[in-house]
Amino acid sequence: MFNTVQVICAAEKDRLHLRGVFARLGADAVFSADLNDALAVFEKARPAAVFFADGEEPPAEIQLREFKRVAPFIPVVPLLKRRDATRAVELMKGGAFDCVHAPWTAEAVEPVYRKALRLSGTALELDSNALRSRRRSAALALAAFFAFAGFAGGFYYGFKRFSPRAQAPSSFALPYAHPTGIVIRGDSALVSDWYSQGLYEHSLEDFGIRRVMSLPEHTPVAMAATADSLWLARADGVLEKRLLDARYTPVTRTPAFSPPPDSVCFDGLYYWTADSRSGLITRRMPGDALPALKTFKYPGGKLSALTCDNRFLWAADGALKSLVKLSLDDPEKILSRTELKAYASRTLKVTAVAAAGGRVWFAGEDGGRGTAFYVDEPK
Amino acid sequence: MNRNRADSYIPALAATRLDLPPAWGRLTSLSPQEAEFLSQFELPAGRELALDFDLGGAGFSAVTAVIKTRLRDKDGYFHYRLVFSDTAQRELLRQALAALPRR
Repeated sequence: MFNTVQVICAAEKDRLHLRGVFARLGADAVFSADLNDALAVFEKARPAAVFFADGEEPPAEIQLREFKRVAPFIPVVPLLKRRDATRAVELMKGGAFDCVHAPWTAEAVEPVYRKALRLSGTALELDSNALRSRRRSAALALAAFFAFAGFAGGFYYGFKRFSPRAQAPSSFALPYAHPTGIVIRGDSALVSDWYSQGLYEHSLEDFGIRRVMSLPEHTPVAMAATADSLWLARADGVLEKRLLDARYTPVTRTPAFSPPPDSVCFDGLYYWTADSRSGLITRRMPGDALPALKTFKYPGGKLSALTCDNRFLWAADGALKSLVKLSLDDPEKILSRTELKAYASRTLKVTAVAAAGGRVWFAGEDGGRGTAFYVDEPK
Repeated sequence: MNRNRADSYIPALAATRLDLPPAWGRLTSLSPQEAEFLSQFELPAGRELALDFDLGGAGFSAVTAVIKTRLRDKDGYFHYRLVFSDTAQRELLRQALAALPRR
């Protein structure tokens, strides 16, 4: 077996250690102090695999890119300074074959070294008839492709020229049926679902799912976002403050509020919670416990969901079949009321609302299916 | 692992419910019901895992799966057969797989 591996490591102590490890594995290791040194060796000979120490200059991502450029089929393995699975997965997405974790013992290096050297490479066949017939099929497929491409090109040109321009959709079907909260952040919408106990990040463009986060311990019933945190209302009346990181790490939580709120929002100064069953809207002080300042009675028909921006409170009203605008200073006063066309569906039940970027977004259930839609903010 | 396809195997992070550091590896096959996970790390059969991985531009987080079988190959890597345990996550996987362009 061709067992020459290149090892890039600047630290003399690590190099000495790795020399012993690769010698124990029976590998013929060629050591380089840095990437330039290694690429100079590459011009003369190609090793079976490359191992390099992470955390040295240049960064691992650049070393991976350079090796993929010079020798795309050689396995490249970063040697991590600590066991960090998130970093390992990121480097593997960037082209690393696998990662060796610290401490770099022979036991840790061996499986990766063996696997890297045993790669089977290009599939080779002894049956040349099969190869010829495959070439014939490929030629036929290529001819068919060009014929089809010509036809499709003409058809596409005609279709684009003579058909009316399609409008971007303003409503979207959700792949889950029980949305409870919606938050708009940048070009994404974050939606919580109580039944699947998940947080779904959607692209605002087509509402395709970008990311899913499972919350197996809690049932989310509402959500609100501030500049640096996400507030998640749970079915037991507790509001959890979470970081806006990849895992929405919980930071603090409030005592259980009664009645348990099913809407929550932040107007830039105060937090607001609402309970759709009693129609009570509560203004709350910022802080970890969100103490109540004042409670108001919703002045419309039937409060379905409430949100706010730094100017108004917005309520979806199932009885009025409207979007209702309320004053932040006096929520018992209706400023305006705009009928929602989506309520033409008698089975629509709006459960969450969010206002951002001149649009008001809604999420809810319609005939057993989840739905999300938006309207332009009424004047 | 075939060299020509190694880069196309999906890297995945596998966290266990215990206080062990998460492991990593690649998904060598994936369906809405189960997956094959290839990793240098040893995990016991029957253990529940939470997998993080990307699929078709979407990121899946904390997808729960149970290790049904494991097999160690001659290089020292472990081949795990995982069964996804959450019905809602299975459905999401099915939709994500169905949305992928056909090869």
